[in-house]
Amino acid sequence: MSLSIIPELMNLTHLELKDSRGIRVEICEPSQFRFNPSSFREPFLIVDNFEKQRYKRVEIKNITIEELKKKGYQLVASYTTPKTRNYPRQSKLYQLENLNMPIAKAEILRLIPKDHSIEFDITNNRIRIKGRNAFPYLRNEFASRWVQLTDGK
Amino acid sequence: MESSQVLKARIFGDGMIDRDSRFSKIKINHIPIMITDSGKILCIPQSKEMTHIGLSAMTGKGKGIGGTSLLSMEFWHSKRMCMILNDFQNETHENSLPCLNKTFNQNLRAINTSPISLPAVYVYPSCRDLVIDDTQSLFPHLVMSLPTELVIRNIEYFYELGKAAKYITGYKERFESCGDVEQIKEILEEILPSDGGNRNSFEEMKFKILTIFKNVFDEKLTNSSTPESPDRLSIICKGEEVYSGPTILALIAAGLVPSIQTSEIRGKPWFSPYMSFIVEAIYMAMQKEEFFKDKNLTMYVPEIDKMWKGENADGGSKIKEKLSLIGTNGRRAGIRMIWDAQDYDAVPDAIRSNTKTLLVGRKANAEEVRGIKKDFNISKEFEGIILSLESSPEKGRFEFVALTADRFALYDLKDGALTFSSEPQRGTLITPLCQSKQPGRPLASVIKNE
Repeated sequence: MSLSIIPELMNLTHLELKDSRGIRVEICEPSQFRFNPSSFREPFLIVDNFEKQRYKRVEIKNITIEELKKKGYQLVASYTTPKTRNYPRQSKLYQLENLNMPIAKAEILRLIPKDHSIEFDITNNRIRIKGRNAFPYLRNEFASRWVQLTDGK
Repeated sequence: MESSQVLKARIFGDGMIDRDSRFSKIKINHIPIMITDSGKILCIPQSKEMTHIGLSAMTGKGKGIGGTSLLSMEFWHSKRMCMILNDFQNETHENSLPCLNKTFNQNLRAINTSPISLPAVYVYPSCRDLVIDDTQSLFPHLVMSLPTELVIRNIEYFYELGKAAKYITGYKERFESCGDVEQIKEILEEILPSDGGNRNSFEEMKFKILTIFKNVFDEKLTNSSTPESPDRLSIICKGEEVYSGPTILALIAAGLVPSIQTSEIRGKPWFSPYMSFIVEAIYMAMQKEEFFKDKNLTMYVPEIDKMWKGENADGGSKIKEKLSLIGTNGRRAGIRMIWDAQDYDAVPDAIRSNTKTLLVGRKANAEEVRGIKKDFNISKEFEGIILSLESSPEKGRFEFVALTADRFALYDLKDGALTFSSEPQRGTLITPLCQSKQPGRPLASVIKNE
């Protein structure tokens, strides 16, 4: 009895070893092991996709008007219409506009209004306005919709 | 599709999600070596470039385990040719068994693989004192001799020739064809005639040269004295010869893992030249032989620093020189060296400077970390970590710090995300796929226990 997979391996690959006189060289006797080439299991990981979604860490920070401009956007204020009001008697709404877009009937803000902030989601590279005058407004999030930034901005 | 599954999970709980959409399998393409403390599988990136890997730690802290683990992954996962250059203490002698240690196998579960043995052949250099006992003969083994002409060609490395050098080197080609002392005697009669001018000194020289050759033949290093130990082998596949060459190269070419057992020859004065012949033969074959073209070899050198700690300083430098050559030029020849050493500073600069990845285990004091700190530019924090690493073989836990001059591939255990980093990482070794023997334990005792 030999303690090796060599006899099986040699059989499988149809190889034999001979010395310079042409005599077959036996390295070991027939083995107790049964070798199957697929018996090595390539290493892998099992990942729970839901675990990933549940615990996905989203990193968000507040940014200034200057940082917003660096990302290619600006904060503009305009007057509301009955259709765009988030709450009764709202007079102004704030929205994010691309720096390259022409602005009509709106004021470019140089300061962030009181009780409002601009959030930057580092993980997903997107921005939004947080506050009651944000537009377009998502009531349950108390903020505007996310604006996806393109790479490099 | 995915959002509907998320909704399902929210309403009915995770148990309602079908298995296929809940779990995904992420294949580890790189060579896994460690599980880091930050919950990642640390891997050495797979690349065509064969960079060297080193391991350094105090005795009993898992150097050998790490080396064997890397070697078994290189053989099975990277599908490379492998060999073990010197096994001083029969440490690799159970590599031909799958890992039978249950606590070690727990480590393999992290990467969802199962134990598998290496097709290791234990190669005993032929010598006068060689005895292979019954337990050793249970394992696949072969006695290897060197070609007579090779030993005679390099005789000055085996024995000090003194004034006899000019007679031997001048007629080397004639001596090379000799198979025994009688043939040597005949040549000596011709070149040093008994009735010559300086008769006494000729007789003395003849006696000296005969003694040198007699020692060579008596040591049974060569095939002429031991016909049962081949110096060359041929690989036959379905009746056709696919390769023919020196024993060690033929075993590598056959896809086996030769492990050279050096415990018997370690103290011999010719140990260093003997090993350097082997290293040189491998290096030349990997560079020049057609069979090995575009193939890669991983050479594991355990206890590299002890290879030249012999009595003979000149001979000692020969193997150091050859291994340094592998260190500098091995990459070009497709040879990856995995070396381990207790004393990092004792490893030659040529090897250290070409080692891109170093795994460091527990070190005794700051003095021992100094060389590593210089070569890998580690912070004080990691210096402190190295001095406090722990290992407990009974739990299959060997803590190491991985350093690189290149980069590591890291797979997150939670989400499987692959990232690359050059930062030092602390973690525990992934134990080998094959069985590794502790130096103190009797050989094959693990089989009886099983």
